[in-house]
Amino acid sequence: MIARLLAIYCMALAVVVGVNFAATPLYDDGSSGYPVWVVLDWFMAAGIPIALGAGLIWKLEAGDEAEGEAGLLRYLEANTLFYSALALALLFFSNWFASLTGAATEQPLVWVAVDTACAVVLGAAGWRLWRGADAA
Amino acid sequence: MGFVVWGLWIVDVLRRALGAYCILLAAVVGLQFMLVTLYDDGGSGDRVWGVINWFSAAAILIALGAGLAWKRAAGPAETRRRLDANALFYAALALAILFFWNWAARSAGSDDFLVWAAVDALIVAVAGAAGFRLWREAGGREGRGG
Repeated sequence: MIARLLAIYCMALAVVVGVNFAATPLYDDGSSGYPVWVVLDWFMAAGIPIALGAGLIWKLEAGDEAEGEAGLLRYLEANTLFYSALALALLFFSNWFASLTGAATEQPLVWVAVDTACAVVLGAAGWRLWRGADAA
Repeated sequence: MGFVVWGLWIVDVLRRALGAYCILLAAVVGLQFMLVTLYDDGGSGDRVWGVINWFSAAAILIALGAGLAWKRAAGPAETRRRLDANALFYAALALAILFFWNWAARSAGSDDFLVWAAVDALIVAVAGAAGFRLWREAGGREGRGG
């Protein structure tokens, strides 16, 4: 039940972040300080650790699996997701704290990478959490 | 026989020490990278990075050396170990090139913040992965799980 809730949260957030990222230039020229992103960032701050924690668990499980093509695929999937989530967490929290404190180190280009990666990583983690709940 | 046992023990201790160093450095860089803006008063954060960079340089060289050793030791039939070793080695190589280039540029005042962002994220992943593998190998377990 908890896995399903986390899965829904991650997948819904991935969709919202992806759609809002693509649509932002249509409704916000940046002069208002991007109020929608200010709210969304708090939800991303909760979603990214979920993907990172789930990725770590899958990575540790895949490390103990037997060799073979299926095991190797799961191993690649788990490692890709974990390291993507790790990089995403580092970049997101660094840039988010910079934006909260008004530091000059906040980089718009980093937000572009973070928002794109967030949609992909949270979507993949949510989808896998959902499938894992199905199999359990 | 005693010398061999002592030699193996020393190698194990050395691996554990290098592994612990890399893991600790990865944690410090990760925390500093995320939290620096919360305490920086316009100069203190930069001074902390100035110190950490020396320790990062050592950790990157350790990860690069260990990665090269694992790459050469992985047999042609060991797909997973080869993937681990090659991914770690080439990531460490790219990291070393970017890090030392931007570090040299820093002394000339022309370093790039975006390159530091990529370098710092890579240090956490590469030094962390190399550190954990060094630590586990010292415990007698095969290094798996890049």
